[in-house]
Amino acid sequence: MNDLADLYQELIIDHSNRPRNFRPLDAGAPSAEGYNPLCGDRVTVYVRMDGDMVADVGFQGEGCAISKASASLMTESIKGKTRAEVEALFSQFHDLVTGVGNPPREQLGKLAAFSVCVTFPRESSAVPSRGTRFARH
Amino acid sequence: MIRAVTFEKTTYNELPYKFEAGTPDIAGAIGLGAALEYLASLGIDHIMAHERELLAYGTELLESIRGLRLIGTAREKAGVLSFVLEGIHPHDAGTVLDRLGIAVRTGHHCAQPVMERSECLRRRERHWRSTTRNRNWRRWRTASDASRSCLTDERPCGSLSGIDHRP
Repeated sequence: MNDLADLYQELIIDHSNRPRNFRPLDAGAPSAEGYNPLCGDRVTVYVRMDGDMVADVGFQGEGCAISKASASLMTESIKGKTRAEVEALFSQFHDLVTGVGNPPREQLGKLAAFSVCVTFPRESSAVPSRGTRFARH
Repeated sequence: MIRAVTFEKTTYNELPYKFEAGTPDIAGAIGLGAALEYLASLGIDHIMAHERELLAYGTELLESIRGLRLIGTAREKAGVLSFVLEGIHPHDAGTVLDRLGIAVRTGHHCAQPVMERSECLRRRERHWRSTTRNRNWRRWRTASDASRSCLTDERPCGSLSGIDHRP
């Protein structure tokens, strides 16, 4: 049961029950939909860029607690960052949840909470699996 | 099937014969016979009565959990209970139950149209996707086993959904 408490820690429960930026952006804002037919997760991410910077980001969709919390924390983490910063963060986060290398935790901030996903193979929905299809709109 | 086998090489037969089975499932047939003998020794009527009793007991226990909705309540149903829990994604509930030593199956059960018909998906706007968990009562040999599993259900689920699921 202890590993359950690690997985469903307060931060993750909080973000899955009260997801931040859980809304579409104005009509016309670029969006992309991700769908994983294996687990049924479906997420649409909306983003508004200001030059090279993420000015606003929102998401909608459905999935397990880990899936929803990771989307919520993702939107918090990338707002205000440049495209290059976001890509670097994505790379570090992907390494963290797939157990590759040892990415710097301080740069990941709250996202480091998902490190426990490595030990839950079935709960790796925070990581787009090979079954996940993303389509741009 | 093969056309010829030597230590040097194998030549398969032509289609469709190359995909025909070789050795029949002899062990499977013997095993099936043993299983039938075992069931006959218990008596089908006894098995049915026992399963009905467990199912009735389990149904009553599950119905006492707040926010739990049973899917499929036909009078003459098999010893399987499918359910959705308000506010909890099935995969989360499945993970928690797994860690408690309770085996359930989560997902669409290869039957998405049936899920749609039982309105498992219509509720998703409010509760994300709600598919069902099958609980196979035949795995519980006694009523107290079933009872124990129900009592442990509500603990972690409550913190997941923010809803008090206790009976």
